This record gives sequence, C-alpha cells and structure tokens, in this order.
Amino acid sequence: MEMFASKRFKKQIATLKEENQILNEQVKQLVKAERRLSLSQERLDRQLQRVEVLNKFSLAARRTEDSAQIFSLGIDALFSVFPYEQAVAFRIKEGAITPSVARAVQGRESRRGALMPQLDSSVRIRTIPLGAVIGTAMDVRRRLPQIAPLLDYLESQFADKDKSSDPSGMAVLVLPVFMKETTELQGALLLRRYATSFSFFEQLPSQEDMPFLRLVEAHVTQAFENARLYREAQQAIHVRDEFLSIASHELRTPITPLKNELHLIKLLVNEDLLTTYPKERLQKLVNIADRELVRLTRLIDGMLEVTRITSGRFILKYEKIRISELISEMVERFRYQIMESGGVVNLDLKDTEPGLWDRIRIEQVITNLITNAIRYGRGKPITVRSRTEHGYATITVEDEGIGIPKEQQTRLFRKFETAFSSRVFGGLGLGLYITRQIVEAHHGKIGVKSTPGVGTQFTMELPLDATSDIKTEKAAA
Amino acid sequence: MPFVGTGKSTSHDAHDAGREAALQAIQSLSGQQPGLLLVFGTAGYNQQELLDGIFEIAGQVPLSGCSTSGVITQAGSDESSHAVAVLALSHAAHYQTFQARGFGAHARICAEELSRKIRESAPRDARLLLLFPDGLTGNVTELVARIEATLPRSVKIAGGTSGELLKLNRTWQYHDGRAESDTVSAVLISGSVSAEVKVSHSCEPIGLEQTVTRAEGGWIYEIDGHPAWSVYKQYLDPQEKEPELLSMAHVCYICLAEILPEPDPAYGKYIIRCPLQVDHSTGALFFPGNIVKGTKVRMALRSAERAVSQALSTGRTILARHPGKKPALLLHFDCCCRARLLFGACSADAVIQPLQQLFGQEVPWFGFNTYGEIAALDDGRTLFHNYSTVLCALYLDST
Repeated sequence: MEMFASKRFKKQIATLKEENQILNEQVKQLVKAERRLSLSQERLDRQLQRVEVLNKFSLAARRTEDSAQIFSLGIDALFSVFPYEQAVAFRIKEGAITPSVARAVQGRESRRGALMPQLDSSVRIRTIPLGAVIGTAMDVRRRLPQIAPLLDYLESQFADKDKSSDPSGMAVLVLPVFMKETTELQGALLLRRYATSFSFFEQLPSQEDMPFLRLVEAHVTQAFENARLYREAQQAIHVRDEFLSIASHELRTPITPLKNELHLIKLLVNEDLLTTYPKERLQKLVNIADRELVRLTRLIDGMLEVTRITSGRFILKYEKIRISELISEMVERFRYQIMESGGVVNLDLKDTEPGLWDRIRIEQVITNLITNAIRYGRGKPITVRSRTEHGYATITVEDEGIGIPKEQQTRLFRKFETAFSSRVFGGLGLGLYITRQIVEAHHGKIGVKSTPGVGTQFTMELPLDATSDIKTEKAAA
Repeated sequence: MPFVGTGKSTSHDAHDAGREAALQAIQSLSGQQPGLLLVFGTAGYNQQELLDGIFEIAGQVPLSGCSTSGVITQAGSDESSHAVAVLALSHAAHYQTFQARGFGAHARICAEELSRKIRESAPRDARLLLLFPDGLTGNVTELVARIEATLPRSVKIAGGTSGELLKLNRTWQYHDGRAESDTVSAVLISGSVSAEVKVSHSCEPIGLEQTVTRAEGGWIYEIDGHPAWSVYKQYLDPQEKEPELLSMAHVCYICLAEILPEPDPAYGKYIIRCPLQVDHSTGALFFPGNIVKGTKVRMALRSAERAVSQALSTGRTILARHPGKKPALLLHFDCCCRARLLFGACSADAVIQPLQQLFGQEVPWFGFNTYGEIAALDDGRTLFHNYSTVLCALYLDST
C-alpha cells in the first residue's frame, strides 16, 4: 500500500516537473515576445519624435522667408535627432557659394562668434549627388571631392574648438538642398562631431536614417519654395495695387478732356451755335476727343489682351511675312511720332527669308518696341536690324536713351511692370509683358541689354516656322 | 540661509560646464562658501577638465562624486553625453571626504583602508556615509560589508557605483580636485542632521530556481552546470542583434534575482543582480555584486509598474518616519537601466515627478544614474543592489 502511494506521488511529482518545464519554456517565449514589443515601441517612439521634429520645423519655417533662418531651423531639427555639435549652411546660387549661417551646441561654438569671411568668389560648386552623405570627414572628402571647399570652410570656422586634427575621427553629414522643380543645387548643410563620447541613446545617422534625412531635405526645400512664393505673392500684391492706382489714373486722363470737349459740343448744340462756331476750332475739338478716345481704346485693348493671354484665349493666325517689309511699314506708320521726338530711325534690314507668323501680333511687338524706343530714347537715333539665319529671324531695336537699371531688367517682362514711373511716362506696364507672350507663343525669345545713360537694345529671335517647335529641333541638332 | 544649492550645465565644453554648474549651485546657496560639493557628471566630458572648471569657481572646497550615465536633478534625469550637476551644501553640517585606490585588484585592502580612515576621523555625531565606488572594477559587496562592520549602526550608508555612457569601459570617481578610476570616493556627513535611507527594486522573478554551480571573483561561469551566458541567451530575442554584438545595456531587461537567505519583509525575498560584462570565450558573466558558488537564483524581468509603485512606497515610508517634516535634501540614486532604458524618454514623468510630488516640489532633488546602488534594508543590513532605487532623505535637526 505504502509502496503504491510512493509510486503515485513520484509520478505526480514527475508530471508536475514536466509541466513546470513547459511553463518555463512558455515564460521564455513570453519574455522574448515582450522584448520584441518593447523594441517596436522604441522604434515607434523614435518615428514619432521625428515627425514632431519635422512638424516643429514646418510650423517655424512657415513664419519666415529668411534663408538663414530656414537653414538654422533645419540645423536645429538635425541637432535634435542626431548628436552633431557644429554646423554651417551654405547658400549656392549658380555654383557660387555663400556661407549663410553657423550653428553649434552650447560649449562647441566658435569663440570668434560670427561667420568667417565669404569664400573666394572663384570657388564654385555645380553639382552634388542627390541625397545625404554620411561618414568620416576623410571618407566624405574622398567620395565628394567637389565639396572640399565647404568642408574646409566648416573646419576653419570651428578650428578654435578642435582638439584633434585627425579627420578620420570626425563624423560628417552633408545634406544638399535642391530647387523643388529644377533640382538645381541651391544650398547645403554640413554638420560634424568627433565620433566619441556618445551616450547610449545618441547615434549618428546610418543608412536606415536616409528616409528621414530625405524628409528633412524636402522640408527645407519646401520652406525655400514657400518663402519664394510668399515673396512673389507679396510682390504681386504690391504690383497689383500699384497697377490699380496707375490704371485708374491712366483711364481717367483721357476721360477728362473727352468730357470737356463733349460738354462744349453739347453746349454748342443746345445753344444752336454749332453753325456759327469757327470750323477749325470745332475740328480741333473733335480731333482732341478722337485722340483721347484712341488712347482710351488702346489702354482697354491692352487690358483685354492680358486677360486673353492669362485665360489662354490667345490664338495665332499664321501667314508668310517678310520681316523687313513689316518693319519698314511700321516705321513709316510712326514717322510723325519719330519726327516729333526729334530722332531718326536707321534701318539695317538684311533678312533673306520670310517667316510663318501672325501678322497682327508681330506688328504689335514691333509697335511696342519702337514706341518704347521713342518714349525712352531721348530723341537720339534708333536702329532697327533684322537678320535670318539657321531657321531663325533676329530683330533688334536699339536706342541711345536713358537705359534701364540692372535690377529692373529681369522684371521688365512681367505683368504690370515698368522700369520707370508710369506717373512720368504713362502706360500700364503691359506692353513688354504682351510682347514677350506673343514672342513665346511663336516659340521665340526676347531679351534686353541695357546700360543706364547709354541706351537699350531689345533682341528677339523668332523661328521662321513658328507652327512647329523649331527650338527643340535646333537644340537636338 | 538655504542648506543646499544646485546647478546644472549641458555645455559640451567640460571646463565651461563645470564653471556654469558650480556658479549656479553657489549662487543658489545665496553665495555662501559651500562646505561640500557633490558632483555627478556624464562621461562625455573630459572628467579632469570638468573638475578644474568647478574648482575655478568654488575654490578648494571638499568635493566628492563620480562619473555617471545620467544626472538627476529637480528637472528629472538627463542621460545625454554632456550633463553635469553640482550640489553645494552649506556649513549647517560637517563633511569629510575620503578616497581609497586600487579597488579592482585589492577590494578587501581598499575597503579596509577606507574603513580605517573613516573610523579614525569620524566624529561621534556622524550620520551618513555616501559611497561612490568604481562601478566596473571591484567587489562592491565586500566593500560595503567591511565598511558597515566598522561603522556604528547610527551611521547610515547610501550611494551608488560610478557609471559612464553605458559603454562599460571606464568610470571615474571624484575626490576633491581629482578625477581617478578604480578608486572609492566617500563623504561622511556629521552634525545636526539625520538621514533616512530606503531601497526598492523593480523586478519580478520568472522561471525556475537555479543554482550557481561555478563562480569566482565576481564572474559566474555556470548556472545549473550550463555556461551562464547560454542560460541568459534563452531569454534573448534572436531577432534583435547578434548576441555577441550586444552591449550588456541591451540585455538589462533580464537579470538575476539572488534569493536572500533571510528575506526582508519590506524589500522582499530577492536582491537583483545585473551582469556588466560577458566573456564570450568562456560564456561567463561578470556581476559586481559578487555572487558566489551555491547561490540560489532565478531569472528576473523588469517591470515599469513595479518600479514606480515600489519607489513611491519607499517614499511614503520615509515620510511616515518623520511625520510633519520636510527633508532638507533628497538624494536619489537610481539604476542606469531604470531610466530611459525602461521608461523611454519620459523617465522623469514616470518616476521622479511622482516622487517629487510626494515629498513636495520644494524639496531639493539630486542624484545620478548608477551602475549599482548601495543601501540598507529595513533590518539594517547594508547591501549592494542592482536595478534599484535608493532614496536618501536628509533632515536638518532644526527643521
């Protein structure tokens, strides 16, 4: 009996031990599962922190259009995620490098404070491959030799804080910033730190962090784009306000004499004095009214033309035209105004082939250029040239007038822009905008060269067959 | 006049950081010349430059402290590579600083030397001994046992072992103007003060009871006849990383619960042990708690909930022992594995802030994240712990 009980207990103990072992194995699996969960949570926390960093950047960048400020915010974002200590941001425009801002964490600032002098203007950087580059200073120099001037500058900027000259110990991040649409290089952020003394929670970026770095770059690019759009919007608002002011003045100017002349004619009719009023004086009244009406019509036509262009209702009717004939005709039409201005027009017309263009529109272009030359030409000679070559006609209108300041030249062809006060010279600032739209609609281009006090030269190139994209064919050839 | 002033800096320049933190501490002591400076600095700094910066401001004031993996202040725990906290204590109490070298090779001799120095100079009204041994080299269990044996029971012992950036390479201990490694720094506080020390841990034992079958000099070679590391690896997630590449900090979520021969009613049946090193050639693990052959152990798992609840419970016990009184200073020594490694970025919110609310936000809060903690259990035995929180409340007799 006793033996039987002992056997039974032993069996129960063995079963319990077995079950205990199974439970123990299950505990191990649970520990592993909990660890996996914990690591996932860590990764999630890291991602959330990064989203927060990017949001903070976006919110702050929304309030600024200053590029140095945008770069600073970008550096702050990177400092808050990666343990870099020092940074310099560079603005790059057409290859020319301008140091924009230097930042460092507390205790790693350069004692000299502000940015060092500008880089030598002959130092240029055209391209950097898309995407961030990470590695030691030595490694990055080898992989991206073109950024050596930027690294040199960064090292010089913080030279007084360097404790080692060993470039293999310096961790570097290069984050190029490109234009959104054109992917033209417009800046670069360089960050660095000696790759020692990191806490357990501080880690330099690795390949895994590239998507985040791409996001930072995209945010900085977008901030620049927003700043540009904001500046343009502000400029457009300013131009619109200016235009409204000028337009109301310009529209009122012909209305006042028109009203006066009509009032006088009405008076003569009412008093039955029309037949006794001197004919030459009556003629003069009607001429003045007619001239002002023409002026008013021209102003309104210009505005309607802009509306047509902006709404896409700009249709060209092509016909064969000899440009020299058209120019001669236009100059003849302006003979009286040219004489009145005291100037002369010299024609140098050597085109040999006709072009396929919209006659009315090209007349409009020539008219705009010649009237501008008369208006701003100070009564000095005007030269009009024409050539045809390689499938293109080149027309140049050159005056020796007041010229256009350099900073105005790029804005000249924009809507509502005039280089000179409309208050003095009149006009709505639409002429050159319309001119450019017409030329571009013919697949041509127009440019200006001008020196204040010396004169201005407008040159336009039109493909002889504007119905096909000759420009593309030429480029391909 | 305030009893303490605190300062903190996160400047990455060691000298500037020392100056800034010392200046803040002395200024918040209403400009009094301090009687003692306690300094804890993370190991991103050149440690000697850090102390030089502090001395440049404070002058030749007695100084003690150590390098850490994080500093604890009123604002919470800061585990960045560059953070230093300075506590300036007024002359309302008396302070003596001590140092013993050669802790790693001769822990016993080092402990005896330190005990002798303390015994020879300790005044009758000595109240609290703060110990900051090297967290990587010596046998802290032996150190604590020897010192406790020579001190009167009226002297409480608390402290923590020095740390660095969880790299487990080298730590520093501060003694007056010098930062050295492989030493023990200590400070004895005497006079019209009293101290209350409590400890709690945050682990739950799991799995079956096992026996250490081979151990020597802090290294456990075998548990139940199997290499110690292989026993550990059974609980590691194989997807995480190559175990050989893992730092011990990566695996600190799992630790050993050493079964206490005499359980403490408040503290529990287990004392927690974390390994600091692994020898992959032998599969041995190094525990600074010096677990010996024959010790009964269970694997243990950290618990964030328990960490908070136990810490709050110890806080309530301290307050209950001094009803109606506010501590003049709260020293907080917390395991480096219980801050961000356990709570993520919000460790201050999880543990420190609830504790501060319990004691009152006006109580100065100061401490560091340790590689191991030193504190007595309720029955009076002072032990070396891991994965624990030590709260040491200092009361001025006049308050």
